[in-house]
Amino acid sequence: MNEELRDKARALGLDRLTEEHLAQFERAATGMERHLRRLPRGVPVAQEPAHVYRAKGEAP
Amino acid sequence: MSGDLAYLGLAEAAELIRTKKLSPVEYVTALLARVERYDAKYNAFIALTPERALTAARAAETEIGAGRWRGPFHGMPYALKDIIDVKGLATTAHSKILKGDIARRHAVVTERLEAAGGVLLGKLSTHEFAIGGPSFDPGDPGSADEPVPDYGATRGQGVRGLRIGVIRHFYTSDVAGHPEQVEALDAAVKLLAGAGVETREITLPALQDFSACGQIILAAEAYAVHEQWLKERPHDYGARARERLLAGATLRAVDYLQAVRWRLQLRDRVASAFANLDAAITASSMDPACRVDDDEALAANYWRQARMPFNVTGQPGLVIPAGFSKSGLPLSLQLVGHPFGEAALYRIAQFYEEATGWTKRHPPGLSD
Repeated sequence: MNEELRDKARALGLDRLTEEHLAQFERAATGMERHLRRLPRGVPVAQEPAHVYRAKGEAP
Repeated sequence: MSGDLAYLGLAEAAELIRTKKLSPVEYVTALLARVERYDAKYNAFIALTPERALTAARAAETEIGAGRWRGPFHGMPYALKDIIDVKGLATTAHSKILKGDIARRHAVVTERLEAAGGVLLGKLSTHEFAIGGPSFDPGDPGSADEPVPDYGATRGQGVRGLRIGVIRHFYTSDVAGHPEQVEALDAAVKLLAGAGVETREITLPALQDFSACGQIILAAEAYAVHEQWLKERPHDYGARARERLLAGATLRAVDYLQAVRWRLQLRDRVASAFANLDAAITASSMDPACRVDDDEALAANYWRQARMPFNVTGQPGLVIPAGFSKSGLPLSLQLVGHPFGEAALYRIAQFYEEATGWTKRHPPGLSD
C-alpha cells in the first residue's frame, strides 16, 4: 500500500484503517473521481435549494 | 399452512379478514411457523417478534369481531426493514455499529401502520445501513404540505388512454443492458401499446450524469453520518458498506454543493420531459438477478441500474417482475411517475401483473 494513500487517510483522521481497509479506501476514492469528472463546475448559486434551519427549541 | 395462504395478496387477505373468513390470529400463527421453517436458510429476519405479533393479532380479532374494522391493514401481518424505528425494539441497520440500539419512538410509517391495526412480525435484513441507494424523498407526504392522494383510486381501471414515456437510452446506449433484460422491456412496452397506451420514447440526460450527481450527494451525506464510526470502529462495518462509505471521505464541500445545485437542473429537465406524460417505463437493473453468493457477478452488476435518476429527482418509482431469464432468475422493469403520482404506477403495475401472471410464479425452495 503506498504511503501517500496512508498519509491521506491519516490526514482525514482515518488512522485505524488496516491494509484491507486502505485498499477499499483507494477503490472508493478512484470510483468517486470518476463521478467528479462528470460534475459540472460553476452551476449558479441560484440553483441551490434552500437549506432548512430550525431555531433551538423548534427542532423535533 | 397451504402455499395459497402464504402467497395471499394484501387486498385478498384484507377482504377475508374483514368478512371474518380468516382469523388474524390463525394467519399470524401460520406465517410465524412458516418463517421459523424457512428462515434458518434465508435469513430474511433480523429479529422476530412473535409475542408482540400474537398480542396485536388477538386485539385485532377482538375489535373486528366487535364490528370495529379499521380498514385493510387491520389484523394484517407485516415486517419492517431494519432501518425503520419501532419504539422499544433495536434498529440495527443490519450493522454491528448499531447492535442493541433501541428506538425511543416510532418512525412515521410505523405509527401509521400501528394506527391502521397492522401486526408487526419482526425486523428484516437489509444492505448494511441500506447503503445500496440514497433516499432523498423530497416529496414524501410526511414532509410536504399536500394532502396524501388516494393512491388506489384508479386501480382496476385498465391502461387505455394513458401516455407512457419509454426511457430506452438508459438501457441501450447509455449502458448496454443484458439482451434478455432489453427483450423483456421491449415486450412490456409492446404489451402496453397493444392495450391502448400511447407510448413514445423520451430522452433524459445520460444515466451516468444522474449516477454521478446522486453518488456525490449520497457519499457526502452518508460520510457526515458515519465519520466518527469510520474513524473509531472501521472494523465493525462489512466490507461493502465500509468501501461505499469511505467514498465520501475525500469529497470537498464545493463538490457537494455543486452536486446539490446540479440536482435541481436535472430535476427540471426530467420534469420537462414528463410534461405530457402520465408515467414512464425504463429498466431497474440492467441484468437478470444473479446469485447472492456470486461475489464477482454482484460486484459487476451492482452499479448497473437505473434507479438512481429518480432518487435524484425525488420521483416515485415502482419496480416489478418482468419475467425470468433462461437461468430462471427474475427480470424486472421500473415504472416512474410524477411527484405524488403513485396512483398511475399502481394502475399500470396492476394491469401488467394481471396480463402477464409473472407474480404467480414462486421460488421452488419456498413451496410448502
